[in-house]
Amino acid sequence: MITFEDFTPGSLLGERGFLLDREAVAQWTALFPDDGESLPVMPAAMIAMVVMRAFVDILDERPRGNIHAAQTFWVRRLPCLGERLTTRLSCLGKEFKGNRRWVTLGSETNDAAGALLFRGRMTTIWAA
Amino acid sequence: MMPPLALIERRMRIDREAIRRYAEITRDYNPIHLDPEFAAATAMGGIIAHGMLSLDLVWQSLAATFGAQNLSDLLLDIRFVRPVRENDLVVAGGARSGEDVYDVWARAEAPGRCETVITGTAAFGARARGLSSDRAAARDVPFQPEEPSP
Repeated sequence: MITFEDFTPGSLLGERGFLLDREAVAQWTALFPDDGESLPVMPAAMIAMVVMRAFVDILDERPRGNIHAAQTFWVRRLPCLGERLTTRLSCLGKEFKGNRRWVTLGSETNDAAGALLFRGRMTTIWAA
Repeated sequence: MMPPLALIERRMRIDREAIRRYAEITRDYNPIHLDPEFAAATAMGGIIAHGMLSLDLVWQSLAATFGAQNLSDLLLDIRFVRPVRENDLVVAGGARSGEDVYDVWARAEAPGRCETVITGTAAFGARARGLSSDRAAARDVPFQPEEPSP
C-alpha cells in the first residue's frame, strides 16, 4: 500500500496514456449529456477522466478512504476526438497538519507532439 | 459586449447510480464513495460523492456561459469545502469578481439542508496565468501555468 511516508516531494510518480476516442467520450456523455456540446473538442470536465485514470493507475495501491480536498486545473488547449494524450503525475508536496496527512500531486497532460494541454494540482487528505 | 455578471447555473441530482457510474468512468473505486458500511465508519459518516463529479457542473456552468469550445487558457482553482451526499441536488454557478475572473461555487440541496460544497475561482487569459503563479507561490508548490521554455 502507498502511504504518506512513500511520497517524496519533487518526484515523478509515473505517466500514462489516454486515447480520446469515441468510446471514452460516449462513456462520459452518457452521464453528462450536456458535455457533448463541445465535440469534437473534448468537454473540459473530461479532464477529470483523463487525470483520474492516470492517478488511480499509477497509484494503484492507495489506502481506502482518501479525501479529495482541492483541485486546480489550468487549461492551455482542449484536445480533439482521436488525439492521444499522455499524463505525467508527480508529487508536489506533503505536509502533516491538523492531524491529517496532506499530499499535493501535480499532473501535466501533453498531446502526441509533446505540447502541453493542461496541468492540474490535486490536494488530497491521504488516509494512511 | 459586456462580460456576463453571473454564470448560467447548471444542476444535477447526484444519486447512487450517478456515483457508481462516475466511479466506473474514472476507475476511482474509493469505498468512501461506494461502500456504505466503510463510509459510515469514517469521519464523513456515510457515502460521499466524488468531488470531481460535482465539479463537472462548474465546468458545465462555464461552458454554458462562455461556450463549450472557449474554455482554453483558463484557470479553475477550487476547494471541496463540504461533502455531497447521495441524492443531493447539486447546483453550480458563479459571479464576476473582476476582469476575466469569476468566483465559482456549487451548493448541495436536500430537504432541510442547503450548503456550499465547492468554492473557487475561474480566470481567463492573462488573469489565469497571473493568478496561477500567485497561488503557486502562496502554497509554496510549483504550478507553472505557461509552457516551459524549450
